[in-house]
Amino acid sequence: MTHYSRRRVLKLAGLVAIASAGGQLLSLPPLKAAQPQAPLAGLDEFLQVSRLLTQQADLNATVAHALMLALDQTQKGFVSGLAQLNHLLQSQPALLQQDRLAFAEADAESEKLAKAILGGWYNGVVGKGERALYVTYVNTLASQLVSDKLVPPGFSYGPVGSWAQRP
Amino acid sequence: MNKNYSADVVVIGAGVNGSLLATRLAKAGKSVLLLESGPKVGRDQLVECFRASAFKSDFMSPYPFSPMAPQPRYTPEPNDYLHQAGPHPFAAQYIRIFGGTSWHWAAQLWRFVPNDFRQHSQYGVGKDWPIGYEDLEDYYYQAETIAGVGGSPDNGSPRSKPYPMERVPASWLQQRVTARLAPDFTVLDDSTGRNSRSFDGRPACCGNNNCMPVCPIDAQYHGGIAAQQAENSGVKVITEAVAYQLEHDAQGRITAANYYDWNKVSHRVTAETFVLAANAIETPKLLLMSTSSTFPQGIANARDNVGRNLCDHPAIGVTFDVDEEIWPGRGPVSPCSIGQFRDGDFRREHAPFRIDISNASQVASVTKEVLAEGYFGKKLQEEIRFRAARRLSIKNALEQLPDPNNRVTLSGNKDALGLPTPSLYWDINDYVVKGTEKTRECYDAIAARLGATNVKHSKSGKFSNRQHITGTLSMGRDPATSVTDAWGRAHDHENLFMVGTGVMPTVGTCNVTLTAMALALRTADKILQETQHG
Repeated sequence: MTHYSRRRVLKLAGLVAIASAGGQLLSLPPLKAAQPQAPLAGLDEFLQVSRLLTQQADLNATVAHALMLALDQTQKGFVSGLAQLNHLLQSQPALLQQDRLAFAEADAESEKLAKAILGGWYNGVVGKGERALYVTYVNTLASQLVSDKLVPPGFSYGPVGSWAQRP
Repeated sequence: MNKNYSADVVVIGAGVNGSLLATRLAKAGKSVLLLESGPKVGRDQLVECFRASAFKSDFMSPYPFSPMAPQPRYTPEPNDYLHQAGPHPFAAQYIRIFGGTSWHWAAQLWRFVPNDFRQHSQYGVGKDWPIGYEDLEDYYYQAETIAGVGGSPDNGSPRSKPYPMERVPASWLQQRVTARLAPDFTVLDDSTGRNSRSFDGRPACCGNNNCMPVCPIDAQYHGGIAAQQAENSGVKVITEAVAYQLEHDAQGRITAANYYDWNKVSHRVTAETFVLAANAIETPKLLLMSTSSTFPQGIANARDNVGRNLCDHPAIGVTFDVDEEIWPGRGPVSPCSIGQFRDGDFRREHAPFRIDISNASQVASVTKEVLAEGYFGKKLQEEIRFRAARRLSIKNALEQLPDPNNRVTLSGNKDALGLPTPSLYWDINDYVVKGTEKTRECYDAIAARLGATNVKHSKSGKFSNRQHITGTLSMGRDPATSVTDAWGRAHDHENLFMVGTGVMPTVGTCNVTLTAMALALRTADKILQETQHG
C-alpha cells in the first residue's frame, strides 16, 4: 500500500459519513457512525463476517461502524440476516474455499446480504436507488487495493505530467 | 415585489456562450443584464456533493436539482423531465446553474474540419452552413485564447496561429495505445481547454482524473469561469430567474422578456437587443412558449422550424482488457482520440466519426462488475486489480445528419412554476447505422491490435447521447428551412439573437462547444457593429 504524504493524509482524513441518495449528509444518528468510540451491538459479528468475505484481517473499524448502520437502514432484517450468514459461513467453510459465492438456493438471502456487505466495503455505498446510502469514498477497499497506482478520482495525482511515467 | 430592469442587452442563459457574449458587450460599454434560471453554486460545494454522492458515475449527481428550474436527472431514478416521443430516447443531460452545462465536461474544445461547413455541396448530404471555416477561423482562435486550449496541431482543422496553450503531457495509457495502434490508427492529443501551466489565475492540471463531473481545482476552463468573468466585467446577473415569455411590437421587434423568480413572482425586463443562450432545448422551449396573436406558433417560429433538426452524436462504445497494464485513471479523463475517419469522400455513403479513448479510472466500474460476478476474498482483489489495470473504454462521436422530424416540442406536462416541459422526438437513419457499422469494425481492429480479452460492445441498435445538442435553432440563408441567419439573428425579429450549440446546422464529428463559443463572439461583434452608433 502507498504511504500517503502528510498533505494527502490531511485531505483524506475524516471522510467517512453517511449521505442519502440526494447527496445530503444525514443528521445525528447516522453521523455518529463516524465516531469509532461509540459501542455498537453486533459490530464484532459484522467484522467477523466481513473478514471472512473479504479475507482481510485489518478492516477499518470506523468504516465498519458506519457500514453497519447503513446496512441496518437499507437491508430488511439485517441483524437476523447477519447472524444467519455468520452461522452459514462458520458451519460450511467449504463455501469460502471457492472463487465465487455460490450458496444453496435456500440460502439465497444470505448470499444477497454477503454481496451487499462486500459492496459496502468495496464501493462505499449500500442500498439501491432512492435508498442508496453513501458511506465512504477514499476508504473503500477498492481504493486501497489500487493505492500504489492510483488516487481516488477527485484527488491530486501529482505535478503536471507525472502521469507520463510508467505506473 | 416586481423588478423591472432595463439594459442595452438582455441575455437569457448564463452558460459559457451567453457569458462570453455578455462579457464582450459589457467590455465594449454596453449595459448587459444576464438572466439565469438556476442558482449560483460554488465549485467547493459541487466537489463536496460529488464526494458525498452514492452515484458518482452519474455526471449530473453533484449538481443541485430544483423543481423551479428543473433539469433532466437519471439517478436514483429518471425524473422524466424530458418527455420522450420518438423511437430512440434522447437522454440529454444539462445543468441549470450559473455557468451551465460545461461545468461537467472534459474541456474538449475542438474546431470543425472545413468540409463540415460545406457538407452538402461537397458530399451531397446534409446541409451547408451559411458561413465557412474561414469566416470562423479567427473567432476560433479568440475562443481558444480565452479558454487556454492546447492539442495536436495537425488534426484536420487548419490553424493560422499555434495553440495558445502547450499540450498536457500524455499519460502512460496514451503512450502505449498510441504506439501499439500505429500505423493503422493515428492517436492524437485531444484539443482541450486544460492548463498545462498556470494560466488566467488557475493552476495547472494535477491529474485529479475527475474532469467529469467536476474539476476540483479549475485547471480546466468551463462555463462557471466564463459566467463569473461576465459578472466581474460589469454584467448585471440575476439568478433564479426563469424566463417564460418574450414580448414583441408590431414590427416583430422584441420589447421585453418576462421571468419568474423562484417564488413565482413575475418580473419584466426591457432592452434594445435580446440574446437567447439557454441551450439547444431550453431556448426552443422559451420560443415555443412565447405565443401571441401575431405569432401563434411562437417567436421566431412563423415557418415551424424552431426545435427541428435536433442532433447529437449517436454513440456506441466498447470496453476490453488490454494484454498489458495501462492503468487508466492517471491524468485527465479524456486525453486522446483517432481522427482519421472525420472526413473523406466516404461521407457520401456513411457517417464520419471520431474515436475517443478514455483515460478515466475504471476501478469503480470493474469493482461493480466483479462483485456482480460473485467474486469474494483474494480472488476478488486479484480480479479488480487485473481489470482496473487493463480496462480500456472507447466510444465514438459520429455525425448525425439534420432531420426536421427530430425535434423539440412542448409536452403536456408542467413544472413547478406551471411551465411546460420539453418533449423530444429522436430517430436514427441508415447514414448513422452504416457509420456505426464502420465504427464497430474499427473497434474490433483496435481490440485485436491491443491483444484484447473480455471484449464487450454496447448493445446493438442502441445509441447513447454525447450531450452535443445541436440544430434546433439552425442558422441558414433560407428562412423556410432555418431559424436564424448567419449571425444567429432570428429571421423575423431584427433585435433577437441566439447563441449556443442550437444555432449550429450540423453536429460534425467533434465536441461542439468551441464552435458555439466562436459563433457567440462573432454574434457579439455583430451586435456591437450594429448598435455602436445608436
